This record gives sequence, structure tokens and C-alpha cells, in this order.
Amino acid sequence: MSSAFSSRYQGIAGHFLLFRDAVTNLPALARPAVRDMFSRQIQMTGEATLNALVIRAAGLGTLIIAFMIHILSADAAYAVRILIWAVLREIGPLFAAMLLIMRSVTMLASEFAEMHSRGEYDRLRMMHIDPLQYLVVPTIAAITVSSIVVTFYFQLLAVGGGIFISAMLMDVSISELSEHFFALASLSDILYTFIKSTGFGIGIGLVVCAQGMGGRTASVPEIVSRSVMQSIFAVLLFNAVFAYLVFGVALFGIIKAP
Amino acid sequence: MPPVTSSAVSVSEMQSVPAALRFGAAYSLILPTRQDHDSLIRYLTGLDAELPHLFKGSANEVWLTMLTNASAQKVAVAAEDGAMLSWLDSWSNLILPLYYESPKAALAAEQRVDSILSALGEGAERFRNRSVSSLTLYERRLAGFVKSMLMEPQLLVLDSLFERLGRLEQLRITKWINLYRQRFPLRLVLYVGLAQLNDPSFLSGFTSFEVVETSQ
Repeated sequence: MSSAFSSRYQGIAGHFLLFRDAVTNLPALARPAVRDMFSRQIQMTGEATLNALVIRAAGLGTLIIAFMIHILSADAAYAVRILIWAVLREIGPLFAAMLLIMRSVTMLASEFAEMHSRGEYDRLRMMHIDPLQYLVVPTIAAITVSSIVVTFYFQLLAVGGGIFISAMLMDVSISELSEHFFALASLSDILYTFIKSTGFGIGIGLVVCAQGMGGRTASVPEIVSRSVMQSIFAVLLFNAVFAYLVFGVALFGIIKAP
Repeated sequence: MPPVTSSAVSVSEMQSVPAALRFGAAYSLILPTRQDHDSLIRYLTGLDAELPHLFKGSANEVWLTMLTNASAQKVAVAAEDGAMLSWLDSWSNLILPLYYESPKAALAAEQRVDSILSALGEGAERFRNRSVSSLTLYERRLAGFVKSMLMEPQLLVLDSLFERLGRLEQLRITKWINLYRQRFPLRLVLYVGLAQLNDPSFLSGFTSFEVVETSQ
């Protein structure tokens, strides 16, 4: 596993190969032992991140509404429109992905690196258990599911908390803000969020597995640091590519579709 | 049980290596260094495709090839540290080889482990609700042995099982091996040990080879 990973799944092409192999082995999730591992990884990634979200998300929603109404003198409808744009489309998925990276990628990458140094991948292979099926598939699936759940949870808290706290602190009512929100939010926003958070999750999962399981020569801190940096890069790259595909522009308009 | 023979050969003494394998036989290979030991285990289990350096170009190479062919890739290692996985508790470690294989095997795996442990004269409570780190060396070896029995291999590799244990525990391990050989009389057993830690008195039932580095 280790040497195979070092050579096979390194570099950008290696990550695509890992993605293909993980998708091919997705039926392994039907095995109870693999599902147990999936639950464990969900607990490690999702739960750890969710706990860190509440205050940050509600605070961000409040900040956006307060900034729009007080600093830019916008009306409630415009403030909510910006909230939807920022939280539902851009900041929400990105912020959730960054939290996931900070809370979970560090944990998983160091755990994988330690498993590597203890020779546990070889132990699995000696029991005729494929580490790709037993560890990689559930880990990528768990990070992807966590990314989707964390993103929606973040958005719910940011929008709900933002509307609630703004109504308490400023001269706008909850019903007014909510009315604008439901009038302006659409199903495409949810679909947009879903695709982005799925892409972020897959990207993060691929990086964690390729780095955590592949670096025989690197030390644990080195692997963790590399995983974090590459995860952030993967998320930003996917964000830019997705923006280009949807809106025809990327990197704040620097790149435009012909 | 096959007749007991004991001999010490070097890689250059080709005539001392048996020309054919006897099914049901127990062999032991005592190796000079940890590196040789590890690379042999990796080769036998298919983790490394390349033959260990010590065995290359000698009659031992032929013998080892015969051994791997006879095992038909059904090899299990009773590892000296039990080959436990740190993220599972002891009991989950024990049942994993079967639990992983079959979707509905969890209960069957538990029953099999229970029956193997009682046949070995041990109780399941030794492993239930215990973390891997709390196991003694003897318990780890027992866990490793039970896991390999669950896999019902053609070739059972005993990885330094007698080393660094007390006399009583070594005697118990002899009983495990005898039980395995009675259960699977036609299968192969290979003990792999290190020269500096080896106690030859416990390998009397094995056809033994001490493999030493020689200048050729």
C-alpha cells in the first residue's frame, strides 16, 4: 500500500487516479466493516467541525446584515440579497470547507501518517484487506458527506442566526427579513451549494488520503502541513473552475469565458 | 506429526535444503538479522514481489519458491506483536478478518473466535472491552494466532512466537501450534525467528534451518 501509494497516487494525475479507484471501489461501503470505518470518520470529521460552527456562523450572518444596513445604508431586502449571495453561494461553502480543513484534515492526516509509520497498512494487507477499500473509500465518502452537512448547517445558522440577531439589535423585524429571504432564495442556490460542497469534500478527501498514506519519507508534521496546504489549494481551484463553468468568469473576472 | 529433524545450513550448502516440500510439515527458518526476517515475511505474504537478498541464487530460493507456490497465496502470519490495528479495540481486531469478508459474518466471526479461543484453552473475556495498548505480549501473540487461524491459510507463518516470553507461555504456544496442525494436518507451518533470540528447544517439532550469510 505504502509504496504503491507513493508512486501511484502522487501529483495531480495521481489524485485523479485515486478518485477513479475510489469510485470504482465505492461498492465496498456495503461491507459492515467498511461502514463502521465510514461512521468513525464521519464522527472524526463532521462532528468535530459542527461543534465549532455555531457562534461563527451566526456571527457572520449578523455581520453581513449589520454591515449592509448600517455602513452601506442598504434596505432590508438588499441586505438579505447580499446575505444569500455571500452565505449561500460563496462564503458558506468556502468557510465550511476551511473549517473542515482546520478541524479534520489535520487530525486525519496525522492519524494516517502514524498508521503508516506503525505499518498498519501492511497489517491490513496481510489479512487480505485492501486499504483502499477499508480506509480510503470510507474516508473520502465521510469527508464529502461531512462537507455537505457542515455547509448546510453553516448556512442555516448564518442565515437564521443572522436574521434573528439582526432583528434583536437593529430596527428590522424577523418577519420582514424572513419574507425577503424566502422571496429571493431559490432552489438553484441549494443546488449550487450542494455541488460546491461535494466538490470541496472530494478534493479534501483525495488530498488527505494521498498525502497521509503516501509519504513514507516525510515526518508527521510535514505530512499534516502539506495536507492542509494542498487541501486549501484544491478547494480554491475547484471554486475557481466551478465559477468559470457557471458564470463564465473566474478569479474576480481576471479569466473570462470567450 | 512428521518426523523431527534438525539441521543447520548456510545459503551455500544447497544439499541440506529438502528437494521437495512435505505437506503437513512444520519448518523453521532462523535468520541472522531483523532485516532478513522482515523481508522474508513481506515476501511470503506477497507485500514484496522481490525475493529477499539472502535467498537469492541458492537452493533456498528454489525451496522458498516451492513454499510460496504451495501456499497458493493463502498465507497468514501469526505476528509477534499480533499485528493489531490501533483504531480498533482488541475484540474488533480479532474478528476483523472474518467480519470484513462477509456482510453477515459479525456474529459468526464472534462465535468462531470464541470456539478457537476455548480450543486453545483461553477465554474470550481476555479480549472483550480491552484496548490494544493494554494487551501483554503473550496476549498479542494469542490474538495474532487466533486471527491467522480464522483465515485458515495453506501456509501459516509463525513470526518469532517463542521469543521474549517465559517458559510457561512458550509451552502454551507449543500447544497452539499442535492444535493447528491437528486441525489442518496437510497444511504447512513455517516458523521464522531470529538467531540471537531463538530458543531451539521449542522448535523440536520443526524441520529447522538456520540460514546464515556466507561469502559465495
